[in-house]
Amino acid sequence: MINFFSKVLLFFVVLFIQIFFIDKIDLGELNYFFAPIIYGLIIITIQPSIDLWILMLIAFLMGLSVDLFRNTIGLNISALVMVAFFKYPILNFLFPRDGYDPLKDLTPINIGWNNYFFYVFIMLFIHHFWFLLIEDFHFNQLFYLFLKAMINSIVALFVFVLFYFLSRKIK
Amino acid sequence: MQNIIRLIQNNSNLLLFLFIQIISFALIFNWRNTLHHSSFLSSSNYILGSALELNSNVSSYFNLADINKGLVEENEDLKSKLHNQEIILSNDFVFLDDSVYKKQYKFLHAKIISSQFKNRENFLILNQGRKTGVKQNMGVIGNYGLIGVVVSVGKYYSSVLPVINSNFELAVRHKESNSFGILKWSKNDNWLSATVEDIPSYVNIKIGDVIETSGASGIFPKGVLVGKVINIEPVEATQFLEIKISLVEDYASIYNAYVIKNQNLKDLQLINNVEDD
Repeated sequence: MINFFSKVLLFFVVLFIQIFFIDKIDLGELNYFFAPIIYGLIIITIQPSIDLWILMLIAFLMGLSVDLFRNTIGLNISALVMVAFFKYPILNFLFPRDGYDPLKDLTPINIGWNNYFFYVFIMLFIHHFWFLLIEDFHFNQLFYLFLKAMINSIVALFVFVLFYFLSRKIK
Repeated sequence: MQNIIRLIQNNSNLLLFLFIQIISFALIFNWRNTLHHSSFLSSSNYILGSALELNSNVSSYFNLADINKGLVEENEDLKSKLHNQEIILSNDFVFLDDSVYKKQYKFLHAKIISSQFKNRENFLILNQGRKTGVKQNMGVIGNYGLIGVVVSVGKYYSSVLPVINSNFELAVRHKESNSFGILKWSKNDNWLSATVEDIPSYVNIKIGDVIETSGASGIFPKGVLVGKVINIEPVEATQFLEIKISLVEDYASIYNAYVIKNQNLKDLQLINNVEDD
């Protein structure tokens, strides 16, 4: 039960940080290249024992909340539900059968630093790339989208690690 | 039948996934393809509006210095007008509050709770709606000058088509020579500039000259500041100039607006209709 409440709290904290801090960062000319998406934190790192349909409903709620704030109905829902849907296939593909404990969150300590970086980066890349693709809806700038997704995934990965250290300190 | 049910049971997750994706794509395209958003999905909707207002309530604290600066400058401008008038009128004690005079324009203060400036089709959201008397096609000005025109109105919120939207057009004039032009936001403008077309090439225009509203449409009063000339180019094979202006309002940091109600608009429309017939 404590775990459930802490996850609900995390939901609002992540939403708050995305909308009021990350989205407000103004880098002038570099704005085109800097738009990291971190609100997928819960979907990406929550324990793998959760059913897929619950995961997708959480993703739907999270995407809808971000959409309400950003005034872009549908974009973030689609992107985050995509991430939720591909979570288990990618986990099964990357790790051996007993590579992780399904009852524990996917943190660096539980699955190892290398695995964590690799797994989270791939998930973030899917999120960014799909988001940018349906945001632009042009296929003539694929290389730029690719580059942009790469850069922002790395930035977001850095934020995820910060988040992990912070949450460990709070505990 | 058994098989179909079993198929649905086995693939329920995939079906849920496809269902959500289809819904979100329908929402995206519905959102993009309509200029006048339906009031259920647009930001003039109550839920969206209040979420955005919460957002702006929090973030506007970080910009209090900017907001104050704008208000102080506007006050300074208004004060100078007020006191000049006093000096002129003080000799005969003329009372302007006479039944001979009628106020033509009324102003309603509104907070801008959401502003976009990075896209080609930008919109602003105001926290005033049908309840406080805002209607479609009312003019909106800011602390420094022209902002845009109201396009869709919800109960408590309304959205504004600003100058920096590619669908915007308004008749403006060059202050020194009184010659008319059309204000547009063309492809190579950014959020700080706009284009004035259709001013004849014999008009003497210098860089730094003031462009203001003409008052012809009845939406805005005469003489609301729009911007200052930064570049003048003659258009080839025509007798007209293409003038770039820098806008007075910075849409990246804009917080206060006034909705303008023209009390004589019905009369004006009546005249226009007669002319059309």
